[in-house]
Amino acid sequence: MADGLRLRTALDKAYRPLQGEFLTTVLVELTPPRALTRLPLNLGLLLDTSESMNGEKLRRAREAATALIAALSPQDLVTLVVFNSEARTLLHSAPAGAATEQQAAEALRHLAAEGVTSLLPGIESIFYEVSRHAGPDRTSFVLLLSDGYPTTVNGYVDEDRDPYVRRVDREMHERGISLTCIGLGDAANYDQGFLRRLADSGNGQFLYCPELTDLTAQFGAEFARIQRTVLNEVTLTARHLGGEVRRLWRVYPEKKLFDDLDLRGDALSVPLGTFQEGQPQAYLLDIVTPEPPAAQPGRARLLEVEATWLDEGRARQATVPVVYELTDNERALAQRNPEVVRLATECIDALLEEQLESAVSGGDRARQTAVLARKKQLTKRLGKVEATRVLEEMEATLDQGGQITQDALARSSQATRPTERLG
Amino acid sequence: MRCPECGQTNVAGSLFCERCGADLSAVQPAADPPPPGWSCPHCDHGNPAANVVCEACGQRPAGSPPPSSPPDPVAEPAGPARLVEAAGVRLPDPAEAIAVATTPGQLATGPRKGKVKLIVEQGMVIGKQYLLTADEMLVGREDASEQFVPDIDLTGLDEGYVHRRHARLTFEGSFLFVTHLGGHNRTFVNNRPIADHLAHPLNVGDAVRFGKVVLRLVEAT
Repeated sequence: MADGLRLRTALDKAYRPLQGEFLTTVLVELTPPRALTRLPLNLGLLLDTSESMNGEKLRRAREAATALIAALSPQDLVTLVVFNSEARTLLHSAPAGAATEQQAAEALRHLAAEGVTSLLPGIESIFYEVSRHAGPDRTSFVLLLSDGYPTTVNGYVDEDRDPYVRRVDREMHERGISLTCIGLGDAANYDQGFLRRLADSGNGQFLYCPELTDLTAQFGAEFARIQRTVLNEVTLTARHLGGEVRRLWRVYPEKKLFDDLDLRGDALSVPLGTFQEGQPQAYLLDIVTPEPPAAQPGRARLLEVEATWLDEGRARQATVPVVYELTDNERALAQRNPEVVRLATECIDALLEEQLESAVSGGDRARQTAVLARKKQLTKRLGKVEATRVLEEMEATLDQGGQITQDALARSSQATRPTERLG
Repeated sequence: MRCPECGQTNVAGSLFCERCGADLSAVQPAADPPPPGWSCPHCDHGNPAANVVCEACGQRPAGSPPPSSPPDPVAEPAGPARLVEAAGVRLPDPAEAIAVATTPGQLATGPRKGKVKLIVEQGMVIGKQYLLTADEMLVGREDASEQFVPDIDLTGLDEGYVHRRHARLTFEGSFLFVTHLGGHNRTFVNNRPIADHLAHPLNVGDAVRFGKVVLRLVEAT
């Protein structure tokens, strides 16, 4: 059995005062070992073939899908589903190889772009195919490519998108199937916030691909990332909580705020999905502890962090207790861990990005200006040159009486979401 | 721990404001006692230290210097951006000033009659809504003896801090203005008192406080 996940924790403040409620931010970093074996893939490709994909987009999608299927190993499984007014399974889940490659190429060659963007049946079909082979010994992943708003079968834009997110979330929780979404073309034509929510629910990534010529490379990069998966069904549990969990973020490699926390008694459990070789993940947990019953200096347990995962079919775990110290020493209380503070700053930057998107969609210009100013302060402090430049462009647009475009928002999001490698 | 930007009360130890994301490191260290604040010599209202005027009555604390070169509010031109300075109170920082100032885009997207409403955020009946449907509306509280009822009646919402004729809301094209009608208990926009008898522009999202009642201007759906 190989070495397991390594757990590291740190607090933004190692001390807390003797009186009052107090918020402590806990960093939990999980690092997979390098020696683990890569797992075979159980891959699903879900392609939008609605009318808006006609022409260059469909040609590029064909190319990217063909190249990806050709890159699979014989032990991998692949399935291909397309959706427009209805969903069609072009290739049922089958082992990769020359025969499968040929079958997929043939089906893709005769593909036409027509109809509306009926995404939900597509999601149902692809999960049906992939879930038949999902399990701890395979990396189950779905790649979704779309260029438009999801519609009902009648062609109206489907405003109720929660069922899509719930479906993806359920597959992630129950079957461990991850989902990555690729938005193709002009961001004004699709709902990037929705695709990002889907990807977040599926513990995958949202990839913004405005240039059609980049699509094959985007597929390739995501495929390379998925291929490096070495651990499945990783779960993070915080137990013996000494206070109320206020918020949980994934902060590295990309920011994600967890919406619905599964709190049971004094324990919080979160499925983290897959881990890739050489790719640590870091999480921030905000905990508000109540006033200590006795105002006495000394050490106290804040929580216990536990990671569980499957290794060659066997359940494994690692546990780390997290303690802090109660004191009235003001110098000690003023200490901050710069690494945790920086990561918390990254999270607030991501939160402001969401506020900016909300202000733009609501047409509230005063709020857009105020959020932009605050966000720019943070991106400058974080040394994010590209993100700051995009924000300054947006400020100039507003100053000139213009509107912030979806494309500018997408670029800002792309510059905001990733977090630089931990120190 | 009170946010110096938006006034939100945050749990001690917070690195950033829960509401607006402002950096609270200046309010740290957590071990420090809370900002001392000050008690208004005129109305005895307890104010956070950051306030330069009383948030309840608009008066300055004892011994504080008067605003430099106090402008004559009446003589000021009525441009919306100028009114912020004309109030003679703490100026917003440049980023906020941009948010307050009118831009060409706002002319097209400003609050419109019948399309915006005020929702009570702080007061005795949180969530109560007032759709703004007339060109001009008086904000205040009822006076049964004079059989006087204002258009926006805050009676029962404020524990007595709203005047009978407290403020006036006026639509002018795509602008909505609020004018404080001179009473002792002030009118605030985004936590800052506005000048007496001068129209102050409102944008969707602004928080307006009459006495102790806080209402948020939102689009009516």
